Amino acid sequence: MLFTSFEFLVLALATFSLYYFPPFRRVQVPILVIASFAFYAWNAPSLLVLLIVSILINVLTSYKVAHSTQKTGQLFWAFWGVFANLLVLGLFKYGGLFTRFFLHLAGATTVPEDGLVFTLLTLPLPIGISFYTFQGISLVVDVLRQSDSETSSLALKEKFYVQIQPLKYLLNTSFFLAFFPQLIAGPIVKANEFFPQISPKRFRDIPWALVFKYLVLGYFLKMVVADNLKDYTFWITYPYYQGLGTLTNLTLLFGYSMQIFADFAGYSLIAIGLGAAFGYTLPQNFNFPYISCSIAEFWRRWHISLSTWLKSYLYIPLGGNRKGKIRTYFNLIIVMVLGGLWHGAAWSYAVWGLFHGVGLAIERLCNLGVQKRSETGSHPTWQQHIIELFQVLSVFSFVTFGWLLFKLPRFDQALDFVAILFKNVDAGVQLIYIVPVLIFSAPVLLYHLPHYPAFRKTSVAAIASSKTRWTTLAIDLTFGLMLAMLLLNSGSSTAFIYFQF
Amino acid sequence: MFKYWSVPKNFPLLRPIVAALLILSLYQILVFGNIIPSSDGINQFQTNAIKAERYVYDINPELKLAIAGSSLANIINPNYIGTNVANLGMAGGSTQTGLAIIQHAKVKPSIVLAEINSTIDRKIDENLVSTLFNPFLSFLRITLPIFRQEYRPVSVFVSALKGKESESSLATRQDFQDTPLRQQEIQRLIQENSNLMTEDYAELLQQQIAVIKTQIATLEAAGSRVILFELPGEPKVQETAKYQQIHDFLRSRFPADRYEWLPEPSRQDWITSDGLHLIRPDAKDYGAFLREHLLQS
Repeated sequence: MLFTSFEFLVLALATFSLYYFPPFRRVQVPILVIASFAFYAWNAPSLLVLLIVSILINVLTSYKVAHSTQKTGQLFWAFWGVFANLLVLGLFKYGGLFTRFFLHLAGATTVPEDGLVFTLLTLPLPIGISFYTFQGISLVVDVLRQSDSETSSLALKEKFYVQIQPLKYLLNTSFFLAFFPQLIAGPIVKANEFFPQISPKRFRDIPWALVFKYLVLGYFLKMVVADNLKDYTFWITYPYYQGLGTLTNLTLLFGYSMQIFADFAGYSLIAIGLGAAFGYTLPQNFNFPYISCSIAEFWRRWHISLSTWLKSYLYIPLGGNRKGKIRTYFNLIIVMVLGGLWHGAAWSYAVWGLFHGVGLAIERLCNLGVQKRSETGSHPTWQQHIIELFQVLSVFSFVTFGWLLFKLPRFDQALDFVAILFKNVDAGVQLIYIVPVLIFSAPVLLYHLPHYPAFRKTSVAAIASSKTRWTTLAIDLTFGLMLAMLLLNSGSSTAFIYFQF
Repeated sequence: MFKYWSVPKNFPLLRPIVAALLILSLYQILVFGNIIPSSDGINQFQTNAIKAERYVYDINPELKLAIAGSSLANIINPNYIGTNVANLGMAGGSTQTGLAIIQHAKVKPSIVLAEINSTIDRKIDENLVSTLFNPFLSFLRITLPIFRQEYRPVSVFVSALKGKESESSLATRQDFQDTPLRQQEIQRLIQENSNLMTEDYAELLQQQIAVIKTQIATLEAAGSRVILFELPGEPKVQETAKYQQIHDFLRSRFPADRYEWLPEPSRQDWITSDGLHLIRPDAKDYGAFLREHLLQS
């Protein structure tokens, strides 16, 4: 079910009404679990079974980890919890990819029409599987880690994972894994941050300003920016880009970079807004990534919940940067390649991850990523501003070039696109594509601009953060304009790009 | 309980909502006052939607001819044919979408021209059709035109920047003759069509033929004369094995003794911009051919 669909509006309003109806306050969690299952099952009811199986695996293993008194018992259940999550993910998401790979290695020319190989090749990709299995792993690992950490964590473990009835634990864990605002495309929530929030909620405690702000901004980015841009960035799919000039193709690629941000950041904002409407705080997922001065900074600002997850549950366990330079570079690259594969079951995503991993390693080698920006201390000089602008543009170009593999997942087509960039230099400039792309990209640029380092210290930023009557009026008018544009200029509705992951 | 549900006094939503309503009202006044011109669309999807909305919401009881087709038919400006003509050629879409719109619209033209070629492999654009005939949205768009695609602020702005194309400024046949890009596209199509269609593809066509046959029967029952046609194209592409196979397949499924086919024009030297779509001067000539055959008899 899409956040932009009429069915979703009905489901959200019905759930919201029941949820805050005073006699139902004791069953708020079951209401949200049922609504989340309905949300998930809407387009493919059969896949709900897999979600429920995944929930049961995580309930059983994390409960056992929490209740095992011996370390070996905890490790045993934690291992099986993580393994089962990875098995589910591996089977449904990567079963086809690796089967095709091994068939290719074996030199098979035909594909069997039944049997195990056929089943592996035709398994459906359950929507949101990458997100809910990662949350499941975070649950199991967090419960395990709390067993040998400081007193406050132990208290947390006791309260939310041990001193709780099995049925309630089942319900709370189902809620944590299936909460519909973040079920399909994140933000990936950590168990330790979510479980303490589970409590009865009151209508009068709803942070309306926050809900309104996040929903309007999120829907605006998705429906007005991303859904309109997709009608133009469509033209950089094969073979259409072959007939376009270099400047046009570059503008469309720039537009795709804006689109993917607006689409995913829009989704995350809607999720956070919906979460807040039900009394839950979901983590921020984007922090103006396109003003990053380094690739490392980009990954601290883009899809923050995934980056944090990869850091906590993969990079640090692999040794992080504690085992020498070479090992650090290796860890960075391996984490990024796996992070790339997490995005999609195609080798081009692994190449995309490798591209970023190598970028991060080179940056670290040259000591570029660890430099602090000139945001504190004395006022930066104009030379510093120019250097920072150059860095921001370089990182943006690097990241945008990487998105090409999302738009053209077939590696040969991505290479062809690059070849066409050099070939079609004299093929003219197609303003009918360029002008709308620049117009629809403008909100993303304006959204980032006040956070650009050079502007942070200026009077513009001071005005934006002040609470005078005029600034309040300007903010109200901006949100009014976004609301009006939602009604007047929304593009045709499509699934969020990150749904495929 | 009522108190429990009451909205806080400093409700932060009101001011932006009032601002939005004021912006919408002002925009509607400017549209009613003809100060904001309409746009013909700035992309393929929008151009299709605008044509469909104009067809359904701006009812023309005098309508004589409507064309249903793909982007191939879309190139024919209705003005090339005559007055009271509508073209529902859908860029990137299919004949089935146009026929579905005509089928559900209040007024049916006396003649429906349906393009029949390989583009029928694209199914009906269900989203477009259901949105067009949604009772609430129809009412809204008829009452308040600002909610139509043709008044989308960005489209109006871009169209105003672009300005109107005058016919005299259009490229001539000589301009198209041997451009490298055109040749490259033609070669690609020849390559693509060198293999015969697969069984799956034939099955897909068969399914869509069944859909079109039902649509034709409904329109005929409503009193329209349905004529099938195939646009002229690039001779080299039309000589390919796959093209010929599909052509024969479709002709056999829509036999001339049951379905009326438009005769092919005698001229053979048609030029396309990309191996598929007629160039504007030739589309104009084909429009004249349609006028001669359909509206002057």
